[in-house]
Amino acid sequence: MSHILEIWGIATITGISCSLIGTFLVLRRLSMMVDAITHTVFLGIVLAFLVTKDLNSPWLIIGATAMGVGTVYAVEWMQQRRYIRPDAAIGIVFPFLFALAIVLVTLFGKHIHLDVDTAILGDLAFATFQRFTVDAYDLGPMLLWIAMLVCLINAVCIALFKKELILTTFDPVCAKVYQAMPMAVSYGLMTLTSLTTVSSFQTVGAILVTGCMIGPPATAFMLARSVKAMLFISMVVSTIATTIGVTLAFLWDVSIGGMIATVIGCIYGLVWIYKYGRNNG
Amino acid sequence: MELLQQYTFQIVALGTVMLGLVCGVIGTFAVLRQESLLGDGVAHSTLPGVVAGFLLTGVKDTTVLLLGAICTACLSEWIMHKTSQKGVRFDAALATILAAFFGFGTVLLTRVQSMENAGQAGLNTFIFGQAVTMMQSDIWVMAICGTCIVGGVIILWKELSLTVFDPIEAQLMGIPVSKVRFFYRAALVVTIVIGIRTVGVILISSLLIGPAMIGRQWTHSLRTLVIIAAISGSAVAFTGTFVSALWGNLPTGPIIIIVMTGMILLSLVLANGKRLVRRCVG
Repeated sequence: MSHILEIWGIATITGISCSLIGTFLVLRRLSMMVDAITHTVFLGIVLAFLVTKDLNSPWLIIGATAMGVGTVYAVEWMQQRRYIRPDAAIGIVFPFLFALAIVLVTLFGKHIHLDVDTAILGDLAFATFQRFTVDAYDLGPMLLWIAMLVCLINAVCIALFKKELILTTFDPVCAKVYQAMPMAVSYGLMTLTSLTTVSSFQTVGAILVTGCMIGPPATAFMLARSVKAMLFISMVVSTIATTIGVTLAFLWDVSIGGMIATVIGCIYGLVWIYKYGRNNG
Repeated sequence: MELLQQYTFQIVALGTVMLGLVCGVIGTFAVLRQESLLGDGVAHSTLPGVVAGFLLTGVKDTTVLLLGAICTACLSEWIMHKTSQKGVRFDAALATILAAFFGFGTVLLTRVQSMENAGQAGLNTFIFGQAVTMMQSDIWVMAICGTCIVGGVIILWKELSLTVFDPIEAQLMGIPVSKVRFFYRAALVVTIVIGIRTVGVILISSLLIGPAMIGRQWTHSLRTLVIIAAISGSAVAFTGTFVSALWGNLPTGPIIIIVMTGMILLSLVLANGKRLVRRCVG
């Protein structure tokens, strides 16, 4: 029983930190950038592993986060070229970096356990095996503590820079006039995004991070009328989805992350039908 | 050069070249409609279809899996467009639906894996792409679909180009815009579904966008753009296949993407140089 509770805890906290960040990403039309980052952090992990030769090294997390921010740089560089639109820039940068990662794994990763499938799909069922112990006293799963730390970092950053974030999101020019440094805020947000992605990587897997980060805020976008409300609603949606998802996954013995993403998609669809479906005929 | 005479290589190269050509043609329209990432979303959405097709029939038959893939891909594409018309932005809708469908796919996949059925092995490669396993029957499927799509684009050329740039004008001129759009969407979905088997879900979006991006650096006319995209798409696909075969065990899809990115960077630099020269001379 406590196994399920622990997994539920990890998933819920990951979901909350994802929706905190995701709200601003949806408002800034950066939804697909998340999809790109979730793929390219894999290259960061592979590169860091090839240098350190250690799968538990903290450099893996640093490398992955750096690669996420690097992706944003690369996409922005691409966008500034002639005749390249933002969506096309994303669509060309991240497959390239991901392809590079796959080639590197094929070339050098024969004898290591660095599985593309696991990284993409994730496996929450094994999340509780690694314990966090102090003096042989079990304080719960390691991933729970990591998830809580990341959630705390996200919450503190957003609370501190709420004004700047909102201003740069809705009116970058005005933000510049007020010296709110839109570029710095933007890169700060993207750093948080990659950090959250990397930490959720093991929990729910790359593709489903996209679901957890964009799904609840996209749902909240339809209902909320202020940023505060949107943050609140997306956290609620994410918690509900996680609870239903984890329960169903254990009931039917299927992928937990996959189930959560499916439930998020269903809630999104239902809210859309409730809001816009009726007067559509 | 004896590689060129090998039967397996010929089959794989033929397949990827055809795919590159079709992707170049249909991808140009996707890029111009600012739906470049739609390919990524639709490709991910094929997973539940593939697995459901396997679950229902119990055999790993390419036709069944492809049909399943087409069904879920169309469904997700429809939901993405429907919900982004009102209320949600296109990119947010795309990301949510992509994750939901892919998530549902993994749910089904874990269901399959818990069953005692040896046939399930290799469903993953269907998703992540494996060009080497291409067979003559796959080539036929590709050839037929590709001919239909390219032929359709040629026949509907006027309608398609007008709908891409100015749908309202097209409507006024009496062009059945929704029908033309339906053709474009269907062609896109079919291209993606036949493409994932070769280069995989994650990399097919790049094959759709890349050739158009290369072409866009060199021309301003839609006709030339589509032709350049088709040629560069197939050239890149051939080079990638050749390089990966030369080194033996390198995966074909990722190599194609890396070659393509090199080509894009090259065209960015060269096209820029061309402009500079023209400015100096003229």
